[in-house]
Amino acid sequence: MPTVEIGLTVVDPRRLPALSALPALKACDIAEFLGDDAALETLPADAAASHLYFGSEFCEHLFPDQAALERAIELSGKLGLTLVLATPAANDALVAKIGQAAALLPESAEILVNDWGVAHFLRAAYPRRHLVAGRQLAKMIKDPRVPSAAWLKPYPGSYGTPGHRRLLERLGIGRIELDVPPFATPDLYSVAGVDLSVCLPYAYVAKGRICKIGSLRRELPEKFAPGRPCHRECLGVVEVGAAASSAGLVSSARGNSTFYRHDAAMAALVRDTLAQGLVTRLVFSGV
Amino acid sequence: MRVTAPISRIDEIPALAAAGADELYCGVVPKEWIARFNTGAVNRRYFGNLGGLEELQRAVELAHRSAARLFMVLNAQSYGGGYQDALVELAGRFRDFGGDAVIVADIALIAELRERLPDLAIHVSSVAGCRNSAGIGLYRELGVKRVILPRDVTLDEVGAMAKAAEGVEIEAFVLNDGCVFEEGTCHSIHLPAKQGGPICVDNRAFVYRDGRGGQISARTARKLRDNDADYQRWLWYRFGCGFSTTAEGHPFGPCGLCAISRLEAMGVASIKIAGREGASERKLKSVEMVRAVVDRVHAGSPHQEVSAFAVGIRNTEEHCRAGFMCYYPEVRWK
Repeated sequence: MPTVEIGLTVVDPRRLPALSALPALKACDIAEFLGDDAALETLPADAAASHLYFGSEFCEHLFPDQAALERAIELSGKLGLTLVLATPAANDALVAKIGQAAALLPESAEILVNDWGVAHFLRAAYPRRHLVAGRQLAKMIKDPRVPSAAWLKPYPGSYGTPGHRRLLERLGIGRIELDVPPFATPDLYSVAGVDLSVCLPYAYVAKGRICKIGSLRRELPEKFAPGRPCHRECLGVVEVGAAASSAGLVSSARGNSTFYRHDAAMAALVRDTLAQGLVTRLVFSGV
Repeated sequence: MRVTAPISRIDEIPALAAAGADELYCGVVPKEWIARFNTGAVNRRYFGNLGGLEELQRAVELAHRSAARLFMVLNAQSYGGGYQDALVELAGRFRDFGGDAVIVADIALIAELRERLPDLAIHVSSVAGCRNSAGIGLYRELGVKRVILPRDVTLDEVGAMAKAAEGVEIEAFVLNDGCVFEEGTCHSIHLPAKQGGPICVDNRAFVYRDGRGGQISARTARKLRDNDADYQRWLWYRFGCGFSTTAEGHPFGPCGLCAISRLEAMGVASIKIAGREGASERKLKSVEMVRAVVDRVHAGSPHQEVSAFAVGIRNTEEHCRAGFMCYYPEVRWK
């Protein structure tokens, strides 16, 4: 298997201390952090992480404050990991915060963007910063209920067009992140001109700006409204599907986003793309 | 401020224009497309499209004769490489018919159309999910004429983007059809009902767990159940109160009528009525409602009066008070 980079995502800054006592971040540590041994079946046992993803790619309210970001910077330095600041779709206020955060990052750090506007802003404000296009920018059908590959045909993955490659060049994006959709084949990961990451063991299906659990402590008239701050309830509670879909996939939800867990065929596909050298980074995260 | 309304049949055009729609938008599925690609996926709706290029040409003529502009949607989140030439060709035919703009979500297709059809106006679809001024700046560089904002934005955010738009028109949602998930970030399919329907109303069974997969307390579980019940009620509003109407035929469902004064003051160029797949009567009543409010705004009526009028149209204040029917609920909190 060609050399592969390995990332671990930490969304909740309260979980950073769990990693701080480690001398390095090994595969077994990632499994323990995620509480998920099966998630690591794709990796050799002696593999070690190379990247620490910090922040949420899905929610504007989980963007880290400066103190948390500084702790993540310190931890990534201590563990010898490249820091990747995860960013979600953003309004103008959050774009400004992302700009302030970008100024704090070490030179080697990357920023994961899930909003073309954020990418455009960062390219202008920080032209040397490494940008990674997140999976929300990779359009494809990822419905865990689809019964056959025929359902995916009308809207194939978005990065197959020359226009997208020109856009990535224009924005200075050198890496893209993809999920594994149902019935995926390796050709989805044959994207010229950029490096590819795959997120596992969960693929995201949809995210909303209206957050059910984020309204838990709001009074009725103000529940389920866009942009309203929450108490980050999603960090403490998740929805786990009670049964698999007819296609055999188990869904979960955290906060405003829904996911499905990869099945055996998806895990095999990831191994195949690694063996072919199509994918050069694996990014592990919980839901 | 212009009123923008959907059509799915050419006979809707004169009626909607007469009712006050300044702009209309449509989709089309040419027979040639189906023959070539064996799919009707020219845009993000399989239904609610005009039946072919002849109808499209007739639609442009009818709209212009009715003093309305006509836009065509090419608003799938993305298209594969094999569709690009056909999309440009279709957009070119629309331009040649005299069509006024195409509504596009896929940013790469926007760039492609700009390059190959430079005289065709492009509106960025709400499905592109443009949520900030930097995004509008990027689309401005790509040469678009208008950005249609996604549904779940606040009025303050609309104002900030409108202020920064500089030469790019802003369109905002005002009526009908609320997605649960955010435009452009939902990767599911509206499956047939027997296979679950839209994923956002597919009542899959789930259990709550704490962040590590363990049990949650009974007290938390009770609060979550109450919140779930509120959410189900919100969903009912989000889906048009069961796609119901008043006795006069005015549709319930996501609504921003009370915010029109503020949207106008922000310089929003156009307000959008959603629902290409809806019935003709629903579209007509929607246009009538929006036009009646816009006319009062244009006549200089104060915001409070306009808002009271807007609430009075349906005469069901309890729905408005619930707040769950509002695109911009904060207008009712202040």
